[in-house]
Amino acid sequence: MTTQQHNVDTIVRGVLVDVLGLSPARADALDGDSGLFGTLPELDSMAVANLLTELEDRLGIIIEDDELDGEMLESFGSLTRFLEAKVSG
Amino acid sequence: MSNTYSWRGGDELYLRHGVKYPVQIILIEPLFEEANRCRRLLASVMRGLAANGIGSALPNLPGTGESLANIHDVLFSDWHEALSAFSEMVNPVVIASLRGGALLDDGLAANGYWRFAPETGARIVRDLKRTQLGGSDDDPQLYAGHPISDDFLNVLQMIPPIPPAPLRTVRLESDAGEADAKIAGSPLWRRAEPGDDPELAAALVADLTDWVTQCAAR
Repeated sequence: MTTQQHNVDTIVRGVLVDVLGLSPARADALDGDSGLFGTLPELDSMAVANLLTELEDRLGIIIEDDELDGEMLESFGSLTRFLEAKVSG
Repeated sequence: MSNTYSWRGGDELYLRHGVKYPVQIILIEPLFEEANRCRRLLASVMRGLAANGIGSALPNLPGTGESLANIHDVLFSDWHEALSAFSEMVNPVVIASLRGGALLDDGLAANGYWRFAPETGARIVRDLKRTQLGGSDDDPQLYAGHPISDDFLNVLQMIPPIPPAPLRTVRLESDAGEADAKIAGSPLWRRAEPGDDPELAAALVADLTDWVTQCAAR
């Protein structure tokens, strides 16, 4: 993992704890294949909005609405890959 | 203790702690759903301030919370008007606002202003519109359960950031925005389930108490 990948990974886990109320242990246990939208009951459409906005704040990025699709939020791995690409510009 | 205040559009409830103290402040809550998520935090802050000898008053904005007004019929300027009437009644030393509440503190007379995690109108509108993503299309005018009018959102979106003076801004450590002080804590306004953060409440009470004391001496 590069430093940047590590930072994105840490920030995403922190946001899942703060926004969804996951325990830190549960957030730490997530791996690339862990399902998010459709798997985590905490992640409803309202929570998705809050999750994305908080990620924007902490990573200093803007996520356009047309970039949002089910695939991006499908798993922990797909979300972090999308965000790493955004952070790299 | 709950009371009502009057403005041109009717009566609204407000919450008050420590009314016997000579120094009084007004708290302006975050907007819409964020207010519900921060209710416990605000109640803790009000109790903490009272323990430090500072009275505080938290008004219900027309069309939100327990208000009998329908938010669909409320204009953003109504909130300014309601707060002006409330402010004349309370005569506050400081106006302290959270999140989108900071869009409403200008034009209210006080010795000083304090903002926690202030947010722009454009970003609040964006957040509201995002809550519709993946949701049902049954009622496109329902934002996180609130039937907010397009007029209201158009005005809210365009609100320029007007910093009153003197102003102290406090943000969370995780927030990249500019601030006079950063404190540890979690963004309760984004929590799916309303939460509590006693340490954050204590840090806010400490910071606000210092600022109110400075402003009261002006």
